[in-house]
Amino acid sequence: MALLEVENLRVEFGSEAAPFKAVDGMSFTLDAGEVVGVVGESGSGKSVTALALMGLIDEPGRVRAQRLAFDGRDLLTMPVKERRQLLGKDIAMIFQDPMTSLNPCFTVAFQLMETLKIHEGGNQRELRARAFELLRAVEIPDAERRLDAYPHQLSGGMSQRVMVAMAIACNPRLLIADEPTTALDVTIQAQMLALLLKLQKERGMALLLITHDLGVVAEIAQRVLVMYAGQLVETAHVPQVFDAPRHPYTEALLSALPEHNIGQRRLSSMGGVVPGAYDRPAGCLLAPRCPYVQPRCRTEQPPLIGEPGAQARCFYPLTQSVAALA
Amino acid sequence: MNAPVLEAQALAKHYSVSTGFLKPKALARALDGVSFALAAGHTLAVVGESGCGKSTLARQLTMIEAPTSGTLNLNGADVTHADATLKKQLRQQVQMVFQNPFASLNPRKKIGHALEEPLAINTPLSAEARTQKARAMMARVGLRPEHHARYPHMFSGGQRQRVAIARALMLQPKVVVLDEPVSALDVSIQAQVLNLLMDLQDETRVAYVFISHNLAVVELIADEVLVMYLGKVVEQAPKTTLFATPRHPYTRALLASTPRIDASARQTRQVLTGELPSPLNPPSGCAFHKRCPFAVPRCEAEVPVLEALGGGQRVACHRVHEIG
Amino acid sequence: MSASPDVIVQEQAPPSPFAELWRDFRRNRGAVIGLVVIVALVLCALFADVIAPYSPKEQFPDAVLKAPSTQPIGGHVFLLGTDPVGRDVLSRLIHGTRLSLIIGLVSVGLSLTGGVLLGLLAGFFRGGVEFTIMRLMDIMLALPSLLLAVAVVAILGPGLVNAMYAIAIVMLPHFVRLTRAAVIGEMGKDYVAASRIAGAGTGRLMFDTVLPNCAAPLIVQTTLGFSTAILDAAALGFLGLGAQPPTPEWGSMLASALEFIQSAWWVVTLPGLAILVSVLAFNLMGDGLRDALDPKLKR
Repeated sequence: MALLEVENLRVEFGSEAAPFKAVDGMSFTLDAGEVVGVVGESGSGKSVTALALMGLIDEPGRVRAQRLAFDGRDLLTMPVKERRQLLGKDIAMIFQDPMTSLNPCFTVAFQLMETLKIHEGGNQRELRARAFELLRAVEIPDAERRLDAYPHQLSGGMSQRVMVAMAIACNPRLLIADEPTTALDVTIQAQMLALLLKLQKERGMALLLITHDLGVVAEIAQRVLVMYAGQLVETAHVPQVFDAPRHPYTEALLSALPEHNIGQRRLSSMGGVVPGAYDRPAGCLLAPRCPYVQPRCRTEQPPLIGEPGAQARCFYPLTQSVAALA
Repeated sequence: MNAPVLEAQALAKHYSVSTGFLKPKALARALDGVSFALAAGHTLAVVGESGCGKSTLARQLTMIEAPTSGTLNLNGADVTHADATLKKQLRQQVQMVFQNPFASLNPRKKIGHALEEPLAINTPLSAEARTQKARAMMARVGLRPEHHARYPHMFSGGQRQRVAIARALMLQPKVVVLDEPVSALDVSIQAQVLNLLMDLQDETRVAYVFISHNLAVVELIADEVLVMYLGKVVEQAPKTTLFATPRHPYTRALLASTPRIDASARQTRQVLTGELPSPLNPPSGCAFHKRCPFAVPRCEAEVPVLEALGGGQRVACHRVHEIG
Repeated sequence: MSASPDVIVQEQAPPSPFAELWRDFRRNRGAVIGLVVIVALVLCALFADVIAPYSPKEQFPDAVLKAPSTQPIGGHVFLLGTDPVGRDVLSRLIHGTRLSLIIGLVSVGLSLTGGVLLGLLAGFFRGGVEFTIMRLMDIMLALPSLLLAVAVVAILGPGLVNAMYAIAIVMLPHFVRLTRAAVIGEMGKDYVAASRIAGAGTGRLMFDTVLPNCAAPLIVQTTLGFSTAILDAAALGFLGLGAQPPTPEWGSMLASALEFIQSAWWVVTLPGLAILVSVLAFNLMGDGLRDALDPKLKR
């Protein structure tokens, strides 16, 4: 049984009559201990998906799904109190900007101990010892002194490690990381990724990594979910998806990377922009921009086609590898 | 090679920072001895992470601040300590595009006004002429005519960056300093904006100083690369040389840390430990020695000097010949 | 194509900033009520000569201290009664609107202009200039505002015009502080650096680039300043230092009739109510404006 089962997740804002579909029919599963990357650009709905999973979408957003289950337990019908016990303990999340994710008024020790106290309890001494262990686990040097530091005294990389420490405090089964390295410098980013991978292996955590950086996904994920304008457009295993993407959007993303255009004077670029709230095409959402568009694409919405684990939302999925097309 | 359009010699900028009431002021060596020569139509990439001094360098080059020491030459003229009138003339030659597309446009002014402002300040053109030029530039960067009367918050990040680029080019400068212009943009928008920048460079022969921490972008767009660490240049080389044979350990670490899709292009990951040092409390000797896998006692004692290795490559490392 | 424009879609022209402001403002019912009352006050002030049944200075000897009633006395109807000298309270209140609004406009106008200038100077030039200006403002703030106003009027002499100057001086530090804080907040932003690099001089930077972005808190302080001005003028009038009789200023009307609070409540209560309603209206509108202008509260 999969650790996380999501079936037909929809998150909508605005009026009921003409809603803005931030997430439109997202379905996927996540097994225990798996590392899955969710990739997409602004407006793809990847962050909203994560927030919906954590139950962090407030009014006026509406979250609906056919099935949203964690470890077999239905998240949709779960009473609020039970759900709150689940969050932070079995499912944890870390966010993009470490400078604003920590409460500036309290020390690191206080914030770590707060998380531990809520879920596990214990007296002050025990809690502090555990907090110290956590800081060591995330490889913060000089952990004893850092316990009493305030967030503004920490650098970006340090703050992000504290966030990770808070997230793994109660040994979660699933860690959702929303752009955890985007705000960090390159060398610090590499450290953070290595740390996340190490913790994931040590603790058998499943890791759902949300990012716009395909390179990061290529390096640490096993599977990838590609999102476009709120829809899931491709799911595949990692080495394959980069050699032979099946959806035109994935192919366009890959060919726009500077890394794939070395030696050329211009980057290959797909014209146009992601559809927003008011200009969603009737058929396939990519049709106005797709270089392979056919008449059918403009009028019908394509379903996900392919075997489980290698699907693309396209009537005419690509079959050749990127190298052959270059 | 033609005479360089922008030339810097040993530029340095020190700030004295207060460390608290009644405590002595600390000296932050934000920039410490940067030299380069930039020709028309070429791109100099400045690579580095937080605290390396690239933003300070941008401020020196755009003459927002005067350097503490060193010289800056624009079109052969010494502009290091330009007075206000000279600066006003020179402004037309050096312009800047900022990193954050959401903060670099005045939220209370329409796009048309933002584009016409440089002309209004520096040229005697009539209002009509200014509007005409603004519209022409808008079309050139791919904005639609009706955008002229809109406010910045109505645009996406990519569109705002186009406006910022258009504004920088209104005065037809010789040099444009770009501070991480595409870092905040999505991959596909990044590609569009980079293509635009390269088109404009081909057309107008403008020189770019391109500040970025993204080595993949740098490999595409740069002619020469400057790698900085804590205010100093640690390696300087033509682009192909730098990426083929990086000699400084920090450059190698940067290249190794960059996530890559192509597994065969990934270099063995030796994750760099430690944090970036603060400019207020720099390590002794070579600033990189605490994190360098090749450090020896000499590195802690002596500051390395930039050494020419041939082919335009210069490296500041005591062990550059041994590491190979 | 590299410079491809964005997807061609027929977008409607987005609403102007004023339309957006009005839309957000309208959501707050209290604010709209406040606005309606203020508009009514302005109309009263503009058309006082037409609306008021009698002249505010005209005395009716046979109708002294008469209670509000619809019954005519000697051929005249005094809907809100008469004061100790036989003048129609309603007419005096209506004409008083004109005075209160002028007081508000002039005091706040002077204070705003001076405050913004000083605040800009302090925020832009920092260092010694800022130090001098802000310490001066601190001294002014350390004195109780009413005492300060009384002191100014004592120096300049009693009268409505001098009262307005006094009120302007008392409100000055608030505007200076607000402007300085807003300016310092904006100065670090990229768009200011961009204008500087485009060659903008200090003057243009101050007034054209930065000031429009400091408008929101200033607008709110201005509307609240109106209510403060009206209250201060009433207090000064109460002390006999503001408007002199027979000027129909609400505060002086209150002051000259205190002894009648038990016997002829209308002479004291009605001017007091007028002050209350106007101050409340300005406060409500100020609150509404602040909420509408605050980007963090936008939905």
